[in-house]
Amino acid sequence: MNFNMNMRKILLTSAFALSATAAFAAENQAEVVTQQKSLLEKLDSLNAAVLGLKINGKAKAGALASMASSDQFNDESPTQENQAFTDVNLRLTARPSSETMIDVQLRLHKDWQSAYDENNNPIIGHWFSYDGTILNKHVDFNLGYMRVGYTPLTIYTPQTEILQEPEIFAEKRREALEKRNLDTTSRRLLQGLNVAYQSGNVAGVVDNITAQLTGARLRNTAKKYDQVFFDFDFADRYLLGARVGVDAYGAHLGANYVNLMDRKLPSRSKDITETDTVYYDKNMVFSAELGFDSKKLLPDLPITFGLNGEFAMSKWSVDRDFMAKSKQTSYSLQQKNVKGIGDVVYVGISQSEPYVRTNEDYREQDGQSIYASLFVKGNVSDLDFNVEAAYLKTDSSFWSELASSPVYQGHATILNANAFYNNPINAAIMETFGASSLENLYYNVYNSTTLQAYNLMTSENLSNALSSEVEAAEMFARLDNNYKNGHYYRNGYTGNTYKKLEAEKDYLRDLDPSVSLSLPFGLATPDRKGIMAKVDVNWADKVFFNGRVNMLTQTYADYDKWLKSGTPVIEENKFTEFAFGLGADIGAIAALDRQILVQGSFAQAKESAYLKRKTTRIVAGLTADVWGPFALLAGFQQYKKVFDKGGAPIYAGTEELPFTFFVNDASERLIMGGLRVKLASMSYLSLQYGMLTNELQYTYNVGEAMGADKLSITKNILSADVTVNF
Amino acid sequence: MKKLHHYMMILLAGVLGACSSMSVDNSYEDSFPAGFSNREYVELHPFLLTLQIKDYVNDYNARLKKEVGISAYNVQVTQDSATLLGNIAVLQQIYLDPIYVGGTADGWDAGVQELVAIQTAKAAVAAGSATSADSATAKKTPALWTEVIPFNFIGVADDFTALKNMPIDSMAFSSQYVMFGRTHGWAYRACRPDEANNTARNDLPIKNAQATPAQKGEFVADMGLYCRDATGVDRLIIQ
Repeated sequence: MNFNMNMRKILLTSAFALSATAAFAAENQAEVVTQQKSLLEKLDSLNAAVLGLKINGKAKAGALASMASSDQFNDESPTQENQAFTDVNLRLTARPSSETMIDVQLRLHKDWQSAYDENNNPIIGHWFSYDGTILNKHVDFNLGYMRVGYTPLTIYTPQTEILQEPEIFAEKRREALEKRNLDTTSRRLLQGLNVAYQSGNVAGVVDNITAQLTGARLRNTAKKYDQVFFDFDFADRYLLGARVGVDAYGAHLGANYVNLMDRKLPSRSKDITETDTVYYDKNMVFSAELGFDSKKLLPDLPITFGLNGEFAMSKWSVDRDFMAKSKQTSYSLQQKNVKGIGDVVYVGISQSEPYVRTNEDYREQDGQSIYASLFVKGNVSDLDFNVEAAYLKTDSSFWSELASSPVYQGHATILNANAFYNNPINAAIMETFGASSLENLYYNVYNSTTLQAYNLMTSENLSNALSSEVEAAEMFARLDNNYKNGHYYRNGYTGNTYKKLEAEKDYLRDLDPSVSLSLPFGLATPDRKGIMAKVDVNWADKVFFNGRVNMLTQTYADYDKWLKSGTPVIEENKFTEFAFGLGADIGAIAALDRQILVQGSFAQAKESAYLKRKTTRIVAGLTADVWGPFALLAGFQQYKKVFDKGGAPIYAGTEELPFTFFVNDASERLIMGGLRVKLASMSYLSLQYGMLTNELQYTYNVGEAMGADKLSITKNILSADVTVNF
Repeated sequence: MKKLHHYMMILLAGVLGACSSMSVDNSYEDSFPAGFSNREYVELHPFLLTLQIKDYVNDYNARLKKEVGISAYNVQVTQDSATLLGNIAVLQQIYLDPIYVGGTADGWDAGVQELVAIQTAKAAVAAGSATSADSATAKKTPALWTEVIPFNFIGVADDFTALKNMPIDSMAFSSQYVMFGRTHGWAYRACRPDEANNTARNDLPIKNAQATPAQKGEFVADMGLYCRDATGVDRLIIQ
């Protein structure tokens, strides 16, 4: 199985060599866990230097059936959801010279179940970029879609880290991410222009001087009233980022600046009503980073050591537009007849009090964050290791938007979204809490659906897109509308960033620690202080070990004690997190010519106050080449979230019948197993079975009635697909 | 280098331009003769204040009408009229105040007499014991009422206090002088003792030129400035 190992290395080096984005610092800080790289990953980059037009891609044809059962479904509920699809992702790369490249990616998706509803399938373009390394390789640039990373406190994407994640899971997660143009790196998906300059060696003393400038558009303004159908956002938001850095004697010194702002003009081009408020958010972060790696000065030592540190200052301010009554005086010439004087012209005054668009400062916060990490890494007789210890302190008022938006969002129902529930509480739980986090992490549904009058959503004054009340809706209901297939997805990931006000409101993500209990917003999570340590060991690609320990605290206002004593009680909420993982390639250990990788990990996180949450994750997996082209993949994952003090109540229901509920215990389990057959070079057949169970225990309050209940769903998922990389 | 110099010059020009004052002398200030004061001007022509107050009350009532709706407003008008007519003290204050109605004591007495007569007649009509003269009287609107009504805030019980607390916009007076008063030869201040024998405006040819223009619609602007002496005669200020 040496081929796999070698390919993995080639892929890594070629990825580094070709990453035109050249996200310098983010790369080293995002050192990915010893993760099994997908066998299905494209090899096109190997031929990257070929001039002219090239078409690569991946075609996948398959079927997926998810059969759900639950006592909480109602009698009429569908229990099965089927997908039968052919999905082709075409990557067109054009290289006019060896220096620059145009990259366009197109997706064709055919859903066979709706094949007769609509014959024509549109092609969706989902990646457009022009990248290059020009001026004698001194300048890298990206125009269009790009992935850019600065530092963990400025531009960064916090990623889910599951130690020793078996390949059967990792591949699913990558596929879900890929459908939203995301990947597993810590670079952020952006659209705009990125230019980076690298001097190379200067005067034999300075190894490198870098300067980078990034401009991107983060959100778009809705241009029409009824574009609620699309993912438009009623804000026009921009990023301007810049960084400089110097490397010499193994040390790195850098400064980063990120400025995000909402443009006011586009929002103001649309009238707002008397009850509307529009918020304009501005976030600025300046950071200084320092790094040192002994490798440069002591290249002969088998061990290298060093440090990475960053200090950041943030400024966040929000002002808002709203309609306020304002006194207005207007003057006009008037003529009146005055007794005894005659006609008199005077200046008449009239006052009015119209609603006028008014702007006021709303909130403002400045904060600081610092982290420093020491590392020792080396290679001593086949033993690769990396040990890191870090200290982190972030103010509660610190906010760095582009570093604080994880790509994992969760809370969606991916499979069997067509199910009906037997009572409104269960339905509300599925709407807010959503399906299990394991389902969100590993599954995604991509559909191409015919658009017709009934599924075109539009503004409130029209009942559908094509007709108002003056036309019978039936007129359009079965109308075939050529070329009007829509690509839809149910996916737990997003590349969108959260403004601070949005992040504050999204308490569910804070509550549901599916990504990380202690650092839900990555290293830039506000109000954290503590230490983190990690160890990664790799013995000759045969045995892998990872360990993580995080001890962090958060200031916490204990309202229960506060109410009793009458004086504010501010305590510390202590997070204790640890995880370890072990993997062994038995095939390599026993000197067989095949990979038999056995993996497992255990992770636990808890907090001492607030909701007293505790999460436990157990992972186990097997990736084995059985015989010839056959490989066996299996994975087991159990995830348990307990809220000892009960969750935060979620308000739901109708105005007449409101109710609250909180989930206090969630147990999830995913068992997956499958066979992968290599049909030919770069072509695979994959047969998989998965069993997903999700059990939520909750407490509810419906006015008079209070109680506890549970919602338990089991899904059996069968999938078969053929994947061809070309 | 040449280019740099060029750019520097542009930059320098820009800086100079940005620093130099762009403000034009305030011509509006110049429109006032020396010693003009709003207070003095409106004292000489109190009806300007009266007109402003009437407008203010009218404006207030119109906004109230828009806010509460026409039917609710009409209900308020009926209630408010009854309140004001019942409150003779306030009615008298408004009637006698020179800024408001500016009525005389005799006028007030006559008005009250008429008011009482109308109210008695109305009572008789209501009781069914009205003579034909009574019915005719009952239909009349009291003259007092007609005069006071432009100063009545709908929905306000004590109109006199409300009127006293009303904000006065003095800018309206000064602009009236600039736009109308000055060219029409309105006095803007009291005469000083040494001006007591200055030519009266009535004796100047401009008086007739404005009163009876040579052609219809023709207007000759008065270029003079006038003060008013103790006897109320407007006299030319010698400049």
